[in-house]
Amino acid sequence: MNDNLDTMFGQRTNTAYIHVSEEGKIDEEVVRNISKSKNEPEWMLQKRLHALQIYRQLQLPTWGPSLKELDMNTIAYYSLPEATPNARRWEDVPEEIKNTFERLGIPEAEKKALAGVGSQFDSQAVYHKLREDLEKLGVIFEDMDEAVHNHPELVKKYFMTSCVPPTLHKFVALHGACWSGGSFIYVPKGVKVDLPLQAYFRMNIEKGGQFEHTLIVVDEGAELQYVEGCSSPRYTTSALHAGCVELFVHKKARLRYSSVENWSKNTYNLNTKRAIVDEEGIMEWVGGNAGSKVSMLYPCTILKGANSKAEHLGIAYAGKGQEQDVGAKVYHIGKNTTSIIKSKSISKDGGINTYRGIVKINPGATGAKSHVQCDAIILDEQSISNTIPIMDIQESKTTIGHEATVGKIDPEKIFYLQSRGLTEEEALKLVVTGFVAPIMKELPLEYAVELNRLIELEMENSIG
Amino acid sequence: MTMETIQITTDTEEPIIIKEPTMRTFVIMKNKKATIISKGKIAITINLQEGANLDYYHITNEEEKNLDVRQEINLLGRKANAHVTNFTYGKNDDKSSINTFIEHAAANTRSMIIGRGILKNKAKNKNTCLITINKQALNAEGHQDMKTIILDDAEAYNIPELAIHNNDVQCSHASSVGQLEQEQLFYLQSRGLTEEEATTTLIKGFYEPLLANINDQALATTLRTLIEERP
Repeated sequence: MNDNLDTMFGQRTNTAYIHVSEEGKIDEEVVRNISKSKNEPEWMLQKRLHALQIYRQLQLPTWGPSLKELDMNTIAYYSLPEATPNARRWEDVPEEIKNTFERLGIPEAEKKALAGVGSQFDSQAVYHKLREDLEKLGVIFEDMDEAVHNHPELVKKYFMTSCVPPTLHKFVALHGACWSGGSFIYVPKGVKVDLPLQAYFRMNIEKGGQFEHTLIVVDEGAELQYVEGCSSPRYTTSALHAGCVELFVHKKARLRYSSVENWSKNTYNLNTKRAIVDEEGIMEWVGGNAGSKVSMLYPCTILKGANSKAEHLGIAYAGKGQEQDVGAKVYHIGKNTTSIIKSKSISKDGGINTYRGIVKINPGATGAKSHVQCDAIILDEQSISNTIPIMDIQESKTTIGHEATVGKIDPEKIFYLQSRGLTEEEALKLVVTGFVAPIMKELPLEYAVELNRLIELEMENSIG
Repeated sequence: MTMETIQITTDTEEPIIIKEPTMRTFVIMKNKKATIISKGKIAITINLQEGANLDYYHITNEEEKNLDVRQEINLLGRKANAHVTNFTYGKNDDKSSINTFIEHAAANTRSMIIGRGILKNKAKNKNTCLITINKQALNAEGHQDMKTIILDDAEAYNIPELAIHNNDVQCSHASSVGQLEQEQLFYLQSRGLTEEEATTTLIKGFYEPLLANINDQALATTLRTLIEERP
């Protein structure tokens, strides 16, 4: 990572922590304490304890990147910064935290009259605001902790039940036991939110663990766009991010979920994201992964209802010491369901990119259509790119296609641009920008700018 | 099964045809050419030395519940070139698994894998295809092109994998699974063909272009006979 990036994203802060759980300790006592400090109702505590039990029974995955260096015994599973939970005014947020966010341009986004901004600092959501007119229409945008108290019936129905049950894998179970903060959004029937809602998560504590939970329910005929950004400063010991995103797209509803993840390069980003789509619903994912040491992230769509659609767009960047094991999963269950997956990756300075995905067509999902396209560029000899797309087709009345290309940048393109007066470095940057542009343009402006800037900074000094 | 290693030291005039289940290793020596055709259950390893050229065809159309095919092709010398074509036909309760591994271990090596599969009734086929390009295999080129047509209650499970360890490469893979075009079926039936005849004609149209590409007429005929052995 270069110096510019350090100034932009790698800042440590001197935030005062009022509660940091003992390192590496995750037992019933810790879980009870988390629940108690949030003043949670009994049913949520029981959910946590149940997940903890499952966590103890499950094994680490035997495939994918090595998790050997991830020391589960040094992670602080719960940390609470000194701030009034969910300050409604920006002024009430402590100066230190505010500065960090300001450096990341978060209040700027707010100023631009975006519909709402939620920010999370370690385990606590510090800032949440929703435009008044949307509140009047019945749209709920709250910190997940608040929602447990304010909307227990909705949370009970949707929280880690049918979409992401704690039994899915070990890190989801861990998440279920010590989750904290995150966003809860409910869009009532027929309401169309015209501007994107945003949340920003930041992991600040050394050896920290962040387990934010995002739960979005878009009811019948409703529409929503949601944007999430993530970053963390750099520390030398390994940190863990095991967030969870559960999305419910009901009949004829539409949801676009965009995220830019730029965790620091010691973070294990083991995130779980899943959506269930009902009849005629549309689910769109746009994702950028530039940070972390190891990412294992495979956003998943379950096309349950007939005529439902899913689109997955993703960009991954792997530089020195980074392994991005990312992809997409789509399960076609309903009839006439459609999915499109487009993935682009850039490998540089020995970075490893792996596209790992699955398209499964269940028996009876007649008329299903799917197209998967993965393109990768490798910028030097040390870097690696893998493509592992699984296609499991159990129904004959379907149309499934997959395409992938891997290669280096065409030297002729670089030569041409140089002949027009660009330096080699500028030419390289321009070609890479062009390569990711089709997906970049699907991101909201500020996020596209952030991701573009990140990739550009990574590309700097890349010659010689 | 028997196991043997065969060295190919002269260009083969006639294709080498293997019709019995075997485990076999071939070594194609420097600058030599070989055409190999195999059928059914097999575990084959083919090592290519510098400048060696391989044309390899495999046909899977046995009535079998558990048919395993393992093809390992190692491009060990510079400028080695491998062309692999897999024809798969499954019907009734056939279950087959085809595993192709191509490793590019030297510079300027080229590989092309073509797969054409037709699965009917309750046939199941798993197709894994991995191209690995090693660090030292500069200026390598590897391509995969897999197409499967599934009819009735057949199932296809495809994993086209690429593992690329250097940047001076051009690699691609394309894989598709689909059904016969309803419109084409309808058209042929409107011209007097029964549904079965129309289906057979379209299936022929699916693999015939690959045979038409083969210059050697005798080879194309041999392949056609092998493919059509089981209607």
